[in-house]
Amino acid sequence: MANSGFPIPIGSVLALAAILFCIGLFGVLTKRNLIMVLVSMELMLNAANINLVAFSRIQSKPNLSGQVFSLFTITIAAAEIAVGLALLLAFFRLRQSSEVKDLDSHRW
Amino acid sequence: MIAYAWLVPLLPLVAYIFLLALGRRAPEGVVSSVSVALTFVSFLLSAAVFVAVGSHPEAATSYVFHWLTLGSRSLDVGFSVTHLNALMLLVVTLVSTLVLLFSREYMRGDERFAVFYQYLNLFVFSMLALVISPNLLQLYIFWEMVGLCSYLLVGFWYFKPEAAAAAKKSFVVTRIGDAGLLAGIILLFLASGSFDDSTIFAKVAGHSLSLGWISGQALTTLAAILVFVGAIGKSAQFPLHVWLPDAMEGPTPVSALIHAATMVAAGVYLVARLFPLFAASPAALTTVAWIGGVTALLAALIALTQRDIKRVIAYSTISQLGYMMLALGVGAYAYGVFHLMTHAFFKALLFLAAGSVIHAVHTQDLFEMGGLGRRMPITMWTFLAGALALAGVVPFAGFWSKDDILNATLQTGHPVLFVFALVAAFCTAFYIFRVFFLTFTGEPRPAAQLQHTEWSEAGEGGPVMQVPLVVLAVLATVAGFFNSPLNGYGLERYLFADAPTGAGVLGRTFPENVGLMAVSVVVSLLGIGLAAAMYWRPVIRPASLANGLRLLYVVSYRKFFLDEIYGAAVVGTGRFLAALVNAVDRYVIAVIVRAVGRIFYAAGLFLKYTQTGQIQTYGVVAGCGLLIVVVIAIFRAGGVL
Amino acid sequence: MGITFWMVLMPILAGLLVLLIPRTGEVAHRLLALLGALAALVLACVAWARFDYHATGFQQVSSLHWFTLPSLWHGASGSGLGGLEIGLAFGVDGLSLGLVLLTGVIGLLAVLAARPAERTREYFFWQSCVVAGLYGVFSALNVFTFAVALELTLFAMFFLLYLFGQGRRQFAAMQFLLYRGLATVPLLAAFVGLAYGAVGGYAATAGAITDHSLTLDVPTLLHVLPSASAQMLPASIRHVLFLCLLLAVFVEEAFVPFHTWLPTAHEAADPATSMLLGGLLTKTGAYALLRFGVGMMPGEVRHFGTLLAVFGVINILYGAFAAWAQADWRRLIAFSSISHMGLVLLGIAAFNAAGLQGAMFLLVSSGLLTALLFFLVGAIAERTSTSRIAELGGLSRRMPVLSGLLLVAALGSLGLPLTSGFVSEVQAFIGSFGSFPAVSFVALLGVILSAVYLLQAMQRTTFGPLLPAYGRLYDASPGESILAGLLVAMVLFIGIYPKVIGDLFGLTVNALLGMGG
Repeated sequence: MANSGFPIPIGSVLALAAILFCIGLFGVLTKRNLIMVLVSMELMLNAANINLVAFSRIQSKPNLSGQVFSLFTITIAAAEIAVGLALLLAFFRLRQSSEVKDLDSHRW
Repeated sequence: MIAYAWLVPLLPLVAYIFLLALGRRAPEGVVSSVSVALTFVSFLLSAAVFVAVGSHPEAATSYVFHWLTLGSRSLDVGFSVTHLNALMLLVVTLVSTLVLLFSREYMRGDERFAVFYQYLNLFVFSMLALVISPNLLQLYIFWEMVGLCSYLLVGFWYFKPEAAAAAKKSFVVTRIGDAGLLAGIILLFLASGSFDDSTIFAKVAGHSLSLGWISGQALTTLAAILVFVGAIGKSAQFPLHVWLPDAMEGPTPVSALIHAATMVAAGVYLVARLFPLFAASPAALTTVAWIGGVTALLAALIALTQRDIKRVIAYSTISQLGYMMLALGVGAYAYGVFHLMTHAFFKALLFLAAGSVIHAVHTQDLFEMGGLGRRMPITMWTFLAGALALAGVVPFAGFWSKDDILNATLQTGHPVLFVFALVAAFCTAFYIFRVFFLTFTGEPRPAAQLQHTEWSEAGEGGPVMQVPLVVLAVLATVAGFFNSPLNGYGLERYLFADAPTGAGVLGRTFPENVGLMAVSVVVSLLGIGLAAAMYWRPVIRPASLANGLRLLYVVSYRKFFLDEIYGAAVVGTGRFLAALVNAVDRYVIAVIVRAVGRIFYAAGLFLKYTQTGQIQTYGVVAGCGLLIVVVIAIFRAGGVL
Repeated sequence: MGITFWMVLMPILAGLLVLLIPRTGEVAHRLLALLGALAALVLACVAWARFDYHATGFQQVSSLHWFTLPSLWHGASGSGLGGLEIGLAFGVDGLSLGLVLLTGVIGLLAVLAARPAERTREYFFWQSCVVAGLYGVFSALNVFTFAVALELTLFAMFFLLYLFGQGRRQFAAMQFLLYRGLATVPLLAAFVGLAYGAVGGYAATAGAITDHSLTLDVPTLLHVLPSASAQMLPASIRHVLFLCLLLAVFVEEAFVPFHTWLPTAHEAADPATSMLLGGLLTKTGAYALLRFGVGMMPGEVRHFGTLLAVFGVINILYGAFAAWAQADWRRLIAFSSISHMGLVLLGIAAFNAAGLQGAMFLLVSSGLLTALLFFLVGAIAERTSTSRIAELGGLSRRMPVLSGLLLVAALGSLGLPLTSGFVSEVQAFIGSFGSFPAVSFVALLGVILSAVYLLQAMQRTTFGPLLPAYGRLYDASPGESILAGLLVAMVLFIGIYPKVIGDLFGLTVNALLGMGG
């Protein structure tokens, strides 16, 4: 390990992020409930955050820009969830449903 | 004087523009006076030019101005005066003046009187400009312009469907010839580098006319024949003669001026003008002679049985133009031009006299006339002068020129064509006197008596109509002496003063050809006699003769079925091709175009099912796509793919 | 900023100002569009007055730089190359100026002839856009400008057809858009290919480095390409580029079998739009062929000469026969124009002074005459509410002036001497007989056929007895008479004094043939 200041091996961290991302992706593509889809998206974003933090530490000149960037991401994610839930509410009022399969107004 | 020759065509143009400015409601008196006066001045100028050219042969020359640059070549316009041109100017202005004068009475009261004079002035201008052209391009320009005027004037009574159809037919049929002429002069231009006659003649004479794809002699023949195709169309020679009889739908003065004296003679003029070109190609000359001979006979045969007075004279015109072509074809340059001149006078006379008759009785059917001689003596006597000239009775004008042509045909060794011409001469005498007797002698026919009121008013037109008739009658009587032994063949000497090289000069044999003269006069008298026996003092009943020769009669009356044959063969083919192309356009190309559209539409119909609206499905597909791309990229990076 | 730039800009400015005026200001819309077209025409005339007949190359050049693509991006070999300049450039030579003047005249008259029933704001906006685009096409000095201007005409004309047409207007507009839109694909391919070819971009070996950078500049391309060596631009690629260009030209010119959009569009268009479409828009393809084909790939024009000539004759005859069979004046004129364009192709294929000059004359002549014919047929249809030949008859009785003008237009169109039609046709035929005699003899059939179909239509329209339904029609208004009279005057003037544009075209012809050697 070149970066001895970091206790966990980088491979493990990246694996964690990858697993987290895949779980999130799987959720986005398969969950029937819109709320679950939004939650899964959060998982994917957080996987990205882990990577950002990890890579900012293993650079030759470690710095905090990764952490700062993940703070941005968390903020954006919060905003995104707010908009997403608002849309979801609007959709629910319209269709009395929060199922993904009912989101088909662009169907042929 | 010759330097001012451009004023000759200019004056009618001025008249045209003036009338155009006056508008279509201009008073008749002003319109006709201005036209006649200016054309008459043109005539005086032409006479001066004619005399000046005659007395100073070396003064005959041309003046050109730059018109358009084509690569390294310059196209010019201008005017040129030769002996032939000077003669044509004289004939055209003279006949034009008389016809314009005649029309003043003939067209009186027509609501488009001013328009009629506009067109006529435009025609006179175009015709004179054609004659005076220094090169073939300008000649072609005005060649088409006179065709346009003919179109406008034939269709002058546009509301008559027959007139509208005849106008179109005259333009289209002559256009077929014009296409040939255009090709001919373009080939000459490409081969010689100029539209100028003299340059072309020099190249022809020097055998240096050549193009890459065709040898010199073949090129000369091809160009000459193409030019002749133009002459065939304009001069209504077989097989493009079908437009001229139909063109009789136009007012009669138009028939006299355009379709007898001037425009239809332009084809003859063209061949005469380009005579050195034709002379360089025996094949072309033979073609001209045969077309001329066949036309002379064919048209004369058709004229025997026609019922419409103007159509008889129209077929007569075709036949006489055939004589002119025959003369040129056998190499008798001067005689063709001589006959052109005499024919212009006596045929204009016949048409105007016929016009006078039509003006009086409002019918053109010969069998609805009769006995008009007592009511219209001047018309009758002038018509008789024209008829005798046409029949070729000594000493009227037609005798001299026609006899010269017969003589030349025999001398140059064309016995078959001579026989054609002789038979045509017999027919000519017969049909024109058939017209004369049916119209002026005997009693009014039953059909005519039905229109009793009109009939009782029938009479001579005013002096305005009589003066042209009398002048032309005098010319028809004496014009032949311009080129007779009495003045030592003056016209011939005049024409040969600057005749283009190669123009055939035939040795004169006056005392010896008296026999031939006698033959031709006897033939004419026989024709006149037969006509008299059938229609004046009915010894032979025409109806029984027609029944006896039923087949021949029908063939002649139906004009050898040429209109029907063309209608089926040419027009039918054209229409079929047009319909075919249209069908291809609508049912093949358009269908293919629509089919291409439908293919994409069908693809869309099918592919739209992929748009499920399920965002998760899209995600899966996109993910798989990404995966594939990544896999390929990895393999490529590893050098596997 | 030279006058050519302002010339192109004027109609656009006018069009934008039209948009600013409220919907109800119909007179102001028309007036502004008129001012824009007039200003552009005046500037075109100024360019003409300043034109130097002794100079070679382009004059009155004005350019507007937009941005530069770095050289790294376009990947041309060699390190010393500058970037690719993108921007607008305008200028005229003889050919351009002739067509620009034609655009000026027809553009102005089309504004005058326009009679939109409603939505005048949109109408005049799009019309001004078409006119500006046409000015741009004919005066573009780089291929980028050319393509932009061509697209402008495409979309603006689409809306004119789609919104203001009649009958099957939506179908016609869509077909127009698809055909001409797709035509720009091979056109752009040819442009890009030519630009690369000019710097040796296709050189198989790295040896063919040239000292100039990748450029879209037309004068440079005209200078470099005709003499580009086989190493710089291999013959096979030249052929492909030329065929791409040819495909685009065939669609733009509505050559058989890519012509179906033109009769449909003319049937749907209103008279003023037809004037623009038939008078100018169908000339852009031939202009492209002369400018980019003959100018930049003369060898290919010679190589494919026979093919072009044969296609020319096919178009002449196909157009003529199809016109003969048409029952509607608008379709007849459309096919007649296809027939004329066939002769243009034949003249270009001949590739000699007479042929090229004849083709250029034909563009102008056919532009004027087609516009005139469409205007007159529109005026008649406005009164009789039909342009079907069978439903007309005897119009001379009630409308002598309109009928007379229609006759002049028809006669000009069939190539009667003393009209521009004759001067053009005779030059084209002199050229084609010089190169392809056999083909030209067949093409002469078109001369006869044009008389047949035009005079037949005339006979059925203005001759004959007046149909009772048309007993109360009125003749041309003074405005209509003046408008058509102007076009007739120009047709006659060119016919009588062809030097007026002959000297302009002669310059370009000499330049083209000088390069072709």
